Amino acid sequence: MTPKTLVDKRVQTAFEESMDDFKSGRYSGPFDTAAESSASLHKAAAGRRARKARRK
Amino acid sequence: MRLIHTAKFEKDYATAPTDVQKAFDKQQRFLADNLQHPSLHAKKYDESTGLWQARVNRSWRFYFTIEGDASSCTPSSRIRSSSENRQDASVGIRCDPSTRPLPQFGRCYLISLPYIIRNLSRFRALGAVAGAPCRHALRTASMKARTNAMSA
Repeated sequence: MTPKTLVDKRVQTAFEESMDDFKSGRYSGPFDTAAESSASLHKAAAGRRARKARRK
Repeated sequence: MRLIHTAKFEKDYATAPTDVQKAFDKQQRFLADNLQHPSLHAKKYDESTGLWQARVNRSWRFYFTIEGDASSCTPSSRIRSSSENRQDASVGIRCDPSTRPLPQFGRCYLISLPYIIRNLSRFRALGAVAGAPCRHALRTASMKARTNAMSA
């Protein structure tokens, strides 16, 4: 079992990273609908996959 | 509610399995409509940072913060009926009416990773493998055998 303190620590680190991203303008949106948001996420994921494939 | 996601979130989303991505898309729709949707199980995770947690599926969670008044994320009638939400609103999630994009909705920032609770799936797997009869079943079986012996 993963202790809760460890989970909390991981979440806290991820939160700080995300806030850094947000403060430095590395974010997408705001999106008015969930569909727009999902489309953007899919696009970003596809871009990431393509970049990975090119590196190989 | 309007949605924003950070680069970190996009990275986590891209690395998540496809079924989790699909589940997240669905949950995101619920979140945009109603923070109190029963499927989300949304709750305040950390009071000091204003971090919220909601479910993607049984073993994955996502985290977010709400910019604006939390009470504006859900219909006001529900807020009045629920003491919990009244408490959340009074705790002071940042409220800035001047930057609120829509008059009746707050802004929701999706900020953090979908987090997997590995133990839950391990527990499920263990439960399936073990398949041993529980104590109650054993006790009732022995009681039945005893009564049968007595009657005979």
